[in-house]
Amino acid sequence: MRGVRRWLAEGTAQRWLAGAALLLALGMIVGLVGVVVSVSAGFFWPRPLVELQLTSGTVLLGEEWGREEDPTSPGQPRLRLKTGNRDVAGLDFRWVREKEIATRRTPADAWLLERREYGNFYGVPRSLDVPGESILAHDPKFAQRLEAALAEAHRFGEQEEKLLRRASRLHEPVARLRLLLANAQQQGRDVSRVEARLDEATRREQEAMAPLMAELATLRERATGYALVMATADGQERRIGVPNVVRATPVNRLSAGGKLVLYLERWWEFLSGEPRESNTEGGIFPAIFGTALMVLLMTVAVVPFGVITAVYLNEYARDNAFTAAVRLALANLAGVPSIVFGAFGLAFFVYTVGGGVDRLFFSDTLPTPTFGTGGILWASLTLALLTVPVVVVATEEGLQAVPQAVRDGARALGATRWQTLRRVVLPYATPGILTGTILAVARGAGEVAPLMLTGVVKLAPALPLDGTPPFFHLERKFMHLGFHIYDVGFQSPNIEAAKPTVYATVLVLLVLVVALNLTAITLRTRLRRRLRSAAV
Amino acid sequence: MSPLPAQRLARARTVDRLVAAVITGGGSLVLVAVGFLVIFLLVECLPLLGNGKATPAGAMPVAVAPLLAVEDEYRESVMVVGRDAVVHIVRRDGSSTALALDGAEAPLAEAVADGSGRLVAVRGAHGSVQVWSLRMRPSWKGKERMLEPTVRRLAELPHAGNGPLLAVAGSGAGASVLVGQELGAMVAVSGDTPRTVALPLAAPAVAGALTDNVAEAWVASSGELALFALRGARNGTEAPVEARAPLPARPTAVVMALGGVTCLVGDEGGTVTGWQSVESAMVGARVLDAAAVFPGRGQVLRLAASQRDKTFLVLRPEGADLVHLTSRRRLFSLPSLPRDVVWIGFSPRRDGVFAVTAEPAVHRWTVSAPHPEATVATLFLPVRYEGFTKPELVWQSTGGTSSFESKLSLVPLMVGTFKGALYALLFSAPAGLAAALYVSQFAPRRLRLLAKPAIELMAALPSVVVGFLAALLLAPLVQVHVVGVLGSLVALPLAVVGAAVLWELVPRTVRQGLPAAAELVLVGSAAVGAAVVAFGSERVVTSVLFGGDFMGWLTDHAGVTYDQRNAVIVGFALGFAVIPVIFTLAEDAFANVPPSLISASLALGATRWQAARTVAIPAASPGLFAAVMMGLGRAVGETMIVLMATGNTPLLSLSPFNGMRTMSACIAVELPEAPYGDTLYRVLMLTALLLFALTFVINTVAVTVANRLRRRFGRLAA
Repeated sequence: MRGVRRWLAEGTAQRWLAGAALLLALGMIVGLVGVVVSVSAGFFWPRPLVELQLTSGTVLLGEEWGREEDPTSPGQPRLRLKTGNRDVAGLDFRWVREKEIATRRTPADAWLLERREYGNFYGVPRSLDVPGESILAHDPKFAQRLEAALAEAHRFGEQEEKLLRRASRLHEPVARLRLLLANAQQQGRDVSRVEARLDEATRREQEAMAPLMAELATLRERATGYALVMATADGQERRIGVPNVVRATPVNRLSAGGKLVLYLERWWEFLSGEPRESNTEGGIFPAIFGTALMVLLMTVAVVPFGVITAVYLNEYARDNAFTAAVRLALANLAGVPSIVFGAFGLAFFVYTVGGGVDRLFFSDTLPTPTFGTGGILWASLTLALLTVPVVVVATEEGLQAVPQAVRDGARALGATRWQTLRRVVLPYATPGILTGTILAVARGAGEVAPLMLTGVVKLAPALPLDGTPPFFHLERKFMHLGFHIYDVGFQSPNIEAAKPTVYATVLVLLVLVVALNLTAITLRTRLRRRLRSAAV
Repeated sequence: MSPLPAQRLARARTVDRLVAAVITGGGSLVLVAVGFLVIFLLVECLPLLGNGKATPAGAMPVAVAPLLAVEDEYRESVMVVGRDAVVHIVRRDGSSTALALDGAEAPLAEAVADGSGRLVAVRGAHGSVQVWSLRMRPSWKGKERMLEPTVRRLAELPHAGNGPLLAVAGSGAGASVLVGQELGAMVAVSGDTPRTVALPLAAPAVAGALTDNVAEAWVASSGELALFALRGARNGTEAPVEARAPLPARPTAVVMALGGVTCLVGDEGGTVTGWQSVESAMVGARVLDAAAVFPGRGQVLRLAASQRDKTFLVLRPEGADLVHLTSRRRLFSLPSLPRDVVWIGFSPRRDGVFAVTAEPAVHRWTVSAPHPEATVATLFLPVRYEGFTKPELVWQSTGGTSSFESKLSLVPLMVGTFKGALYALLFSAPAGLAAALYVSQFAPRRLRLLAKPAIELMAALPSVVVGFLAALLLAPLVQVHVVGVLGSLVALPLAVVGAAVLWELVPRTVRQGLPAAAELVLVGSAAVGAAVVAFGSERVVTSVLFGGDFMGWLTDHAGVTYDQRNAVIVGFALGFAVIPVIFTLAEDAFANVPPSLISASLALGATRWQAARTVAIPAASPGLFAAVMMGLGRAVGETMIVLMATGNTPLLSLSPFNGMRTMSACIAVELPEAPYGDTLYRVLMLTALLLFALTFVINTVAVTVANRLRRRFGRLAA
């Protein structure tokens, strides 16, 4: 009995349990980051192409994407084979029972084509058609010629894109007038003038469009001359237009260095490219851009506001009920769920302010909203409200690190309060302000829920910043890394094929947020060291 | 020499004063912002409480003895069918035109209209029945909208007998009329092969209604209400009775509410009853059930149902009331209703009401009742919806059809919110508090310097990433290894305690020679060992305890189904958001306990644990409470994790293995789709306001408690 009591008093078990809790918490972070890194990093690494001959006689070619117990016959393994060729087979993935495999080999002549449409193609090249000749696959110059053809096709693609952009610019006035006309009709306004302008614009568009279309047609005509003839694993031949091919690789022949290059190339394409195939493939550049721009706008709004509040609380406010109320409001601002800010942003910024702006300045396009619908401006203002406490708390910490003696010294030399603040206190507190800004940026980059209400979309047709005046399109909807994860991970029709994209996006967002936070933490640690020395 | 120092000084002073004003103004802006947030959300959801109102919109004279009337969609004109077999189109500006119902023998004996008012059946002077389609067809000429009245004869029903016309229904292809008979009623159907179907009752039918698709007929005699199935009934046969019920008072008016499920019966006692046919206790049989009762004074003269929602109009000698079926709410009475109203009805868009009086005139009202379906009762109490046999708490905001009855009970969402928060706290509160205790009381300084930023980093992890991994990686894994997971929950603490007991057996000299970090390694290995054992013995445990199949066992013995995305997953995933909050605040609270108190306790011979238990924990307890409160606030408001890791189904189940839908997730999913100003929009704004109020209370309590603690020990430390 006494032994038990002594044991309890010693408290080793209690201490160990508490330690276990700490380990659990630390393990959760390490585990999450570790899982993301280990799962995400591997998706872009080239996998060997395996050819499986099944006992039924079927031949399959593809990448092995995992192995698990067959749920229909316990104890038997089955493997997931990515066979690609969606245009031939209709499905990207197949389950193959291990025991049904007769032979397996990694054919050296198998190629992987990454395509703009229909996903990957796995097969053996037969020949390359370029205008005027056809190069057979065993020709020693085949690889070189293919590369040249790909480069050529890539140029075609660029030209085509340029032409299409020009065409869409040409179409813009007509589209705008059509919208005007439709709105005017719906509201029963006089439409005769709009109709006349529309006719004129249509005529002009047709005039300008004709040579453009002719150019486009010849371009496309020339592009069709470039094609790869590929054989699938079961011997079917397919003609694949070279312009549709992003990259052609004889994966099984790659050296380790070649694989690394391909791996890095894929990452680069992912970070800098446009999404394809309803976001399941291609890159996430618009999402990165949208996130960055939104966060930038948010910073412009939140930093002055947050710094002023912090300066007020720390330098100007007296310790009274009003200050206490401001502090309580701040604490609540920090504790209110982000979705509530989203609802407020929708009701206030989008519908009330945006609707008001529309009625004042864009009444001719009503009822189609311009600012009266979600957009990057409203989203960033909503997030700015959300991140005010982050900036205030960090700035206050920075201000508290300023020794009182320094302030007193400046005042004693005859500086006004503002002069003291501007010349002495704020420069001293810069690390704190910077910490707050970085933390706010990290918070803004990771927050999704309020954006869902205030202007994020799964696929934005145009970036909010581009070459058409007024260059900054604050009313445009935008893409966002966090929402991209939610959307592709949960709303995507082809979830398996989207896995590499989603996991890579998760990795990008995680790296971004963790890096920002680590920077802020480092900065703040330095600041705190100074605070401690200042207190002495 | 600087020129005019006095001037410069004055300028510096002015700037200083200006800046002070700006900064003070800017600082108070936070307060303004929060106040504004509340006020704005409040403004957005306040209209839910309003009953709406009707304002008289003038009267127009008619030059005919009226039988019935129909208003057009744009509320520009009213078509009055007169006894003279002429349709008088009375426009808002007072002008009128007339279109004859060619072939109908004047004077007309009677007339009925269907729910939409587009179909009208009339009985001529010699008893023949015709069905007409009345429409005001809009056309645009420039910016001017023209309404072209069209009158088209749809059907002749010479076989419709001589009884009173009770109802008409149909489409462009054909029409059916319900005609009262000496014993019951009959339905006469037009078309290539005209047919009649008898609906026998013990007494003559006095009122009745047909569903829009003419699949069912509700017929009321003076003592009985019966529902007949018309689909498939052949010419000359009797339609089968689906269900019947006695009526307490003589019925005077019958109309179908929008959707064709509820039949509204008004009687001479003044009561309107909403009848539904529901499954009876006997399998396969149906009974009529008075699902909703709306008492009133004075005989019900006429009922009219809105074609936009479940609102209906009750005309009594005393006045006319607008009532909503779902919310059982009497919205308002029509102001300045004239005497001797012979016909009353809604505008097609339910934005107006019109009435025709015996002294021939058309009176119009503009109606604004935007949110009749939302009341405190429908939002928070069980409601008996159409097709339900008892009042229930349901959230189902949108349905497939326009006649869908939206079910806007916030209770399932609130239950879901608290369920998620509860499971999150069950996991995170002990973990966060214990970790904070360890870090502040037992851990070496270097570990503390490492652990605090690490946990801060945990708070910064984007919740969308956590939710994504929880839903797509963790949930499928846990589904396969439930027993292992549950086993580890038990085994882990046991293993740690057991290891601690074994550790005591090691000689004290060895123990004290070891650095504190080594202790954590031991703890970690014990925990990992426990997990390995739990997962390794999973198969054996499953077959011994659960007969080899945990899911099956769960359904058979506990009556619980297993959803892949459930409260356990959410509870764990929310840990990423909640543990850092609790840890940081709890650590803060421990740090605020003056070290002198702990030192004193240690000096008096207490062990570190005794000092922690008897001094640090009691002293910090208000702060620990505040920490848990803040954790609760965080769990309640978290959106993306719950959105992704719960099934997002609004269930009313507290089982750890079921999903739920929380208030925050519901707002995130439904608000982008909700039209501005719609009831759903406002209800979701109310949900946001409730979330705000909830977290406001939680935060204020937590902040106050933590501040008080700081002040108390601040004095003590000084």
